Order: sequence, then C-alpha cells, then structure tokens
Amino acid sequence: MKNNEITLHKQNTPAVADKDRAAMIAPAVDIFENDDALTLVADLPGVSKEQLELGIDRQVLTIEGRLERAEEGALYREFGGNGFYRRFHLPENLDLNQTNAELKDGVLTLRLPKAASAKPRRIEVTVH
Amino acid sequence: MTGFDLFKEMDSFTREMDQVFRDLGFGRPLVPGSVYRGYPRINLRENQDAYILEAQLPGIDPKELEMTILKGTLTLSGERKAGAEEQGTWHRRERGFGKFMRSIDIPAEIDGDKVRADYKDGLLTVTLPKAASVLPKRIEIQAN
Repeated sequence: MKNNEITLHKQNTPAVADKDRAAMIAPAVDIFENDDALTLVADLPGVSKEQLELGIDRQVLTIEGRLERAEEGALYREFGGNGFYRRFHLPENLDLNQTNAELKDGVLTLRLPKAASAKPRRIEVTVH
Repeated sequence: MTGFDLFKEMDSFTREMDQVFRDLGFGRPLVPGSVYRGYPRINLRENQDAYILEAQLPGIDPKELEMTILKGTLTLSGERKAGAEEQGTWHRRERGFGKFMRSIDIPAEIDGDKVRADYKDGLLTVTLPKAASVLPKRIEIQAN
C-alpha cells in the first residue's frame, strides 16, 4: 500500500456528532467524467491522511476531514470551522470495489471507475 | 453517459448557501470579523515571540511558491495549474486555478532573517519572529 493511499470504509461511521458538522465547510470540488470513470477532486487544505474519512454507504459518498485549529492569539481570520464535510449521491453504474483515493498536498483525488456494463461499447456491423 | 442529475449532491441547499457565502467571500460558519480579500485565504495569529501566518494553498508545488518580505509586507505569489484536459464531461468545476499574488501587512516589526515557512497538506505556515525591539523587556528594579 502506498503511503498516500487512503482506506475506503464501506460504511459511514460518523466521526463527529451532527452538531459539529454544522461548523464544517463544504470543500470546493471538480467532478469529471469520461468513458471509464468519474473523477472527483476536492480541496482539503490542512487535512492529513489520518484526519480524512471517506465512506460509501448505499450510493452515498461522504468526504469528511477534521481539523484542529489553534485559535489562540488570532488577529485576523479568513478561514475557520473545524474541517470539511460534503456528501454526494453516486450514480448506480459505478464499480465501487475499484474505487481509488489519493491525498496529496491537501488535494483529494477520488477515481470511481464505471461498471463494465456502463462503459460504451463498439458494436461491429457485419455486412453480408 | 451519466446525466448531471444522477450525480446528485446530498443536502444541496446547505451546499448552495455555502456557495453564496463563498462568492461573498465568507467561509461557513461566518467567522466573526472575517473579510475575504483575495487568494489564498489567510489566518494570522500571534504568540509571545512570533506572528504565525497560515495560507490555504492546496495542490501547489511548494517550489513554485514565491515569498518575499519587504518593509513589513509579505508577498506571496505562485500559480495553481489546471489538471490535464481530457476528453469527457465536467459535472462540477469549483476549484479555481491560475496565477495569484497577495500582499499581507505584518502588524509589527519582525526579524526578517529568522522567518520560516513550512508547507504541509496544502497549508502554508509562515512563522515570523518578532524583532527584539518589539519584544517586551523585563527591567530589574534595584532595591536600595
């Protein structure tokens, strides 16, 4: 297992109570689709591999990154909150066992390959 | 092809509110007294001996980051590159990219030679030690 790989939990185990999530910020994401897969990229500055929780449960993807910020002596603040939290409802044509997640420099890249049946197929036409 | 609606977002109302606040330049929750003046977003705090500046710079190669300090103004500049363009469809594109530059005024005199900057997990932390001239000095009182 590579160092920057993340274990993907099959169940969503809430790390924090819902009231704490209210203070979490939804991270900015890019979602890109091609013939083979859906790729989701999320900005999670300050979140380490240990602080990141990824879960897929009944087609719902949860991204959660907890942060503990030093609040003492704050002079000026443009970001706050206690982390990042966002959920997506995934389409059904994905092969979730092949999901691949990578976290590098605070950017999460999640690759969700499509199920074989959902990939476009070229059908040869035989001319007689 | 998966339709846009299939990739649905949970709690989309909350999400939209976030977007509104993001556009206004506020993170959620609204940090009291917070203002958004540009990219990257910064937090500044102080302790007894130093000012600590944190900047959110996810996905940036630290080698491409330039930092200069001139007369109490710290300038950060760099570029966030867009991912490789492939054949396909974008469903969401919220992460920005491009060149940026931002100047931050440091509230008091600092010791420019001892500034340290660390980049970890997309967060840049700059420690700016206060100059000896602004540090509190303890004066012994002589009892006669």
